Amino acid sequence: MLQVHDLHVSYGKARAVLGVSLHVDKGEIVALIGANGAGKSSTMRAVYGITKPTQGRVTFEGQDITGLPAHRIVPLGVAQVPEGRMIFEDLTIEENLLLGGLARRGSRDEQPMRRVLKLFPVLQPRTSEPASNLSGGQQQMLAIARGLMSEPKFLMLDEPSLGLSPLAAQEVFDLIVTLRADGVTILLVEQNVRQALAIADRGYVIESGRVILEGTSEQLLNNELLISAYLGVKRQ
Amino acid sequence: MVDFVQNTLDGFFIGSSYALLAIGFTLIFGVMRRLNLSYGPSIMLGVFAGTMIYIQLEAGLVFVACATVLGAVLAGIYVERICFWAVGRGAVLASMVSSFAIWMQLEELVTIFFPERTYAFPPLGDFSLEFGPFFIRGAHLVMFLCAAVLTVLLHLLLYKTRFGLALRAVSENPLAAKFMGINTGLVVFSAFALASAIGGVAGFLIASADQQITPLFGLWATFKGLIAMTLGGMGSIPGAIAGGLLLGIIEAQSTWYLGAEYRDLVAYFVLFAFLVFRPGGLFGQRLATQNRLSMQRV
Repeated sequence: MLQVHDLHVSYGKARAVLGVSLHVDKGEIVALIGANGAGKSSTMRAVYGITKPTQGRVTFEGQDITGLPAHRIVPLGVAQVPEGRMIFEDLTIEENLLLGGLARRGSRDEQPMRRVLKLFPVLQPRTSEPASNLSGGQQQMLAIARGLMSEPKFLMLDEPSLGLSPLAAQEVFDLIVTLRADGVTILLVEQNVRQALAIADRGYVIESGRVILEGTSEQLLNNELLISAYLGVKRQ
Repeated sequence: MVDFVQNTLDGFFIGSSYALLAIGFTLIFGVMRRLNLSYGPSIMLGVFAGTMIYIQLEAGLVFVACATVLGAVLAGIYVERICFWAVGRGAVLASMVSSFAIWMQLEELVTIFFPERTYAFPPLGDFSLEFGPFFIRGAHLVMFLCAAVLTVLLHLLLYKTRFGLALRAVSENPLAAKFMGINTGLVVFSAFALASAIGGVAGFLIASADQQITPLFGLWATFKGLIAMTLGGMGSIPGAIAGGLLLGIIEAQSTWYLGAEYRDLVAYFVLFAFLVFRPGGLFGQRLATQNRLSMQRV
């Protein structure tokens, strides 16, 4: 479904991504893991057209989307839930959701709103409230709900469990599994390695802008390097 | 007391045109967080387009109004392409300085093609109303009604349409709007054109109330709009309305009680007092903190 080949991203002189290649097949959950500043978010943003890659090729369903702006990528059936949620706090919950569906073709129909609210019953009675009323976990739910408003086939989630309580994080991971069951393909960036690999089919470990390790979740969870570098820290 | 009420009325009506200028300013500031000093001069260009077809073709009021608005929009688009699109998004200072340069350029352009100091502009609403001791100029009444209708239309546009929703999203967080798949460049461009059109209407109303224009109109409109926006709170539309009306009333009162030569001095004094004691303006306190946050985010 998604093919990324030899992707490079630079911000001025700072080189954030140095030749990442990865692929996501239809129906998969794929996790990108790695430390802070490894280049995970930069990869996600370059794929989604928020930043322009300096080199490399991105194709979605066989179509070359390298360097296309996000407003040309969203109508293809791709959505990304950004790191840090980026909820519009001045707007109502309903307006936030509507914005998620704005770029979709023929977005006048109310079907997606009904479907999304059914998936997030906690938002249902509060749609006319300002989004700033929501707690952190609820805001993350809203961010994901908003991402689903464009009815994407392919959803990218950037650190969805960041800053959440363990309970709220678990809810988010459960939700991702539900979404996959509904036919959404998922690319997930996470620092929460154990939980991410628990739900993912495959994973890529990124360090200093390069993929240093890839494999099925099972392979990664048993990999010496990964255990010592990431899981070891988590264990204490 | 009668004088005070009369002044307040006068100031209120004139202030409605300041409110329009401030709304245009604040729309641009809201979506870009950058100051467009060329806002007044681009309106001035529109006003001169209006006066040109009035003098050359003896066109009717409706055509003059259309020419004014169209001229202001085209000039506004020119400013946007040069100062805010060509100059990169992060370059706040470069945008402001280049908008100042374009201001000078537009003013020069007009003085070359219109070498005389003042030009006639067709009058609007040549009548007046009296209520007991109070007196309202017809031109001022029309000015106020147009401003009120335009403000209501703008409100509907912002709160009832998809474009309005996108514009509010871009104002709050342009990066998040990009993630939604909104073409933020197009939204900014449209907001700029919209602000210029509102400015064009304001320019038409003011010029026809004065029945004459000069190339200094640009300077004047930028100052009035900027002061009114700052009094109300940058980026806030209710603030722009309140700031415009407040500025109109302050000016009318100081003209009456202190003399016309003190009018601008008092306005600048109030502006200064606001900047020191209430920098967020009447409606912008929360927005001011938010701006700080959004700067940090960038």
